Amino acid sequence: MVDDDAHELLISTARACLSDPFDALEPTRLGWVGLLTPPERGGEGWLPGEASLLSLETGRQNAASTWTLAAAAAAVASHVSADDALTASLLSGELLGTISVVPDRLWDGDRLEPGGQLQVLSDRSPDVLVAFDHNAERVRLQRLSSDHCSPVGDLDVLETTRGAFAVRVDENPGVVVEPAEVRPILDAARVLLDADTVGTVGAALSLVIAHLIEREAFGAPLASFQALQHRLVDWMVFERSADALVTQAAESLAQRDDDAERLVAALHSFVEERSVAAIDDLIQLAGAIGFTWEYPLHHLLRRVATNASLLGTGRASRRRHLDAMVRRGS
Amino acid sequence: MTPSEEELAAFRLRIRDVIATKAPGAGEREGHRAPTSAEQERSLRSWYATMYDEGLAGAGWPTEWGGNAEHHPLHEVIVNEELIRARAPRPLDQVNLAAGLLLRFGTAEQQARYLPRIRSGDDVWCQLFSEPGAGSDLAGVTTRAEPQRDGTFILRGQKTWTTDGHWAQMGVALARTSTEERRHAGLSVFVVPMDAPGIEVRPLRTIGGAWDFNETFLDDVVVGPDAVLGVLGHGWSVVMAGLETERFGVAGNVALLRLLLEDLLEVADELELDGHRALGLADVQQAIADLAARAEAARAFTDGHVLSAMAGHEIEGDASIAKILHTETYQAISSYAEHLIGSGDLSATALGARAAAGRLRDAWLWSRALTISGGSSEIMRNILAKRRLRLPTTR
Repeated sequence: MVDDDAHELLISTARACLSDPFDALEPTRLGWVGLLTPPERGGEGWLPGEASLLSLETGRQNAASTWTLAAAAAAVASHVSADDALTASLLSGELLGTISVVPDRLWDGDRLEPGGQLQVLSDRSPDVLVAFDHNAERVRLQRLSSDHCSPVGDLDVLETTRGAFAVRVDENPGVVVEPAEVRPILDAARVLLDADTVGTVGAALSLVIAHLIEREAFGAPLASFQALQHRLVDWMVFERSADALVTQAAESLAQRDDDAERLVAALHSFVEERSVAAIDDLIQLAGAIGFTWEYPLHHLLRRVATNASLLGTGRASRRRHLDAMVRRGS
Repeated sequence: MTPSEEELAAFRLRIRDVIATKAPGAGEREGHRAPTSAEQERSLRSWYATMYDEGLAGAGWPTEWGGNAEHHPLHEVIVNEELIRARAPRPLDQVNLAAGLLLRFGTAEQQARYLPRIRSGDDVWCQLFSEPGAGSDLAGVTTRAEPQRDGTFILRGQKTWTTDGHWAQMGVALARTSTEERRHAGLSVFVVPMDAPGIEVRPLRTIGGAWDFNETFLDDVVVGPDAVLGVLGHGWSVVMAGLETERFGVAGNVALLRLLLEDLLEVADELELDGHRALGLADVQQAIADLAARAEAARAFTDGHVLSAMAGHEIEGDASIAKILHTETYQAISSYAEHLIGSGDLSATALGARAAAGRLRDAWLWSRALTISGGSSEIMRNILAKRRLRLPTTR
């Protein structure tokens, strides 16, 4: 468990690192990309608790960073590759890794179909992709060629706050990964992404609350109307409880607890749809300004909607959660 | 000092054993708390005494009144979880509240007179706070306590939602002792014997058919000067302190959500819906898993809240968030269960599932009591808007 002092230190470091002007390489320099990789392979250790705190803050700052995905890719590489140089390059930032669910149509057995196209999130053109299918029954570590990756423009993709790339799978080498061996890493990646989502919802809530306190209508601040207050409270209650569930899921993973997989599935089930609904409703509460491109709310909406299914759908998480409940008796 | 994990595990086993060997056999029904026969009442009072003797209740009291010096709030959490898990009768909230007020505001004489009788199960207490015109807005009470020259007070007024009033020996009443401009001023709290002349208790059946609630009429009820609890005229702070007692017990309440989910799974596994086993249908699976995720989030938040509160770092409003999460998730699970059961057909042979369906219906009918009483969900949202989000005064 991350104690209070360490918690404060992490958050203040994260704020300093993520504030404007933000340098996308800073998380790598600070070792965040190594937070899921064992020290003997050059990482910082198995630290999903610390990583989730930093990811919450990454979402809160709406930072243009995909370091959590890079951290998961590096951890998978360290686990399955005999090539220490690959892991070292991913940890140093020389190479950039990312991770994504890949739809069934792009798989050919346990290989990715050459020529298949998909979109991934990455700070710059990715060099390594950890791909897995919806049920995480097939996992693959795939090298990518930079001439097969191209940035996707704002209007072509939902995501606008982080780098998005169209990737064409080529004949580059890749390795099949035994899913059971890397399941905790995939689960950690999910928790970090959900943490980013919860942080983003917190940012949206703060933004709209400040706006509604400032803005007057009918001779009073909009935030003084009870009909609006209760909706803001509801989203705060959601954000606080989701934050608590992030902490528990991350700690459970850190301790390699038997119940971790169920908690991770519960977390994703809980946040994926509600976080989108939360920011959608906050746009409504903000009024017409919330509907403009200039006002940042829609970027936050896009961020959480992208996160919602990047590493698997809510439906799949609910199925996993229910299966785990039935297995344990409730 | 925080007990070790080994000590807590041993404590849990001991509590389980006490419950298994000494708790009344019949399963507790949600929303049916008061006894319905003399025999049941004897058994319940005896169980209350056992809970005090065995440290399941009152362990946090000062040792001079029977408390345990080694007691830690985590013990309280475990006791509540285990009582819920076993569906055993839990200590009465109203008695806990009265004991908390006596310990904090009572004179030495009041403590000596009343506390041992709570521990022995001889006295059940009820709460005479709410009135027909003052529920969530408690400062609106109009019951008056007129001071007399001989130092006594005469109480006149009507109270309502008096849980357990029909079998309680004692009550704690909130009444107006002077006329002040400020609504929260001039209120006082009194200890009132429920058999005092002038008290009439009339039953109010609850939505689930139980007789737990009552209306209480106070018609020139005379109490002595020694009946005042706390400082005369400062009753509001006494009442508010009372509502803050037992805040750690809430951690155990989320165990109730797990019981509801267990029942829901059992029912869905047996229920025939559209010609299929309900639990095999994707929409049912998704709905149950979503409710379970809500329950998990409620548990995660409440665990964190209780640990912070124990460490003295309670954040303002966290208790209100915990209440909203627990009560509204309870409502959502039981409401979905009732809808599901009503949509399908339970096999005539599935006795376990039919019993589970009965428990879920009790819970559904009872669930509005949770979101209305003890500070309604709407009051909780008002509190959070003001104290947590610091929003401007409501219009």
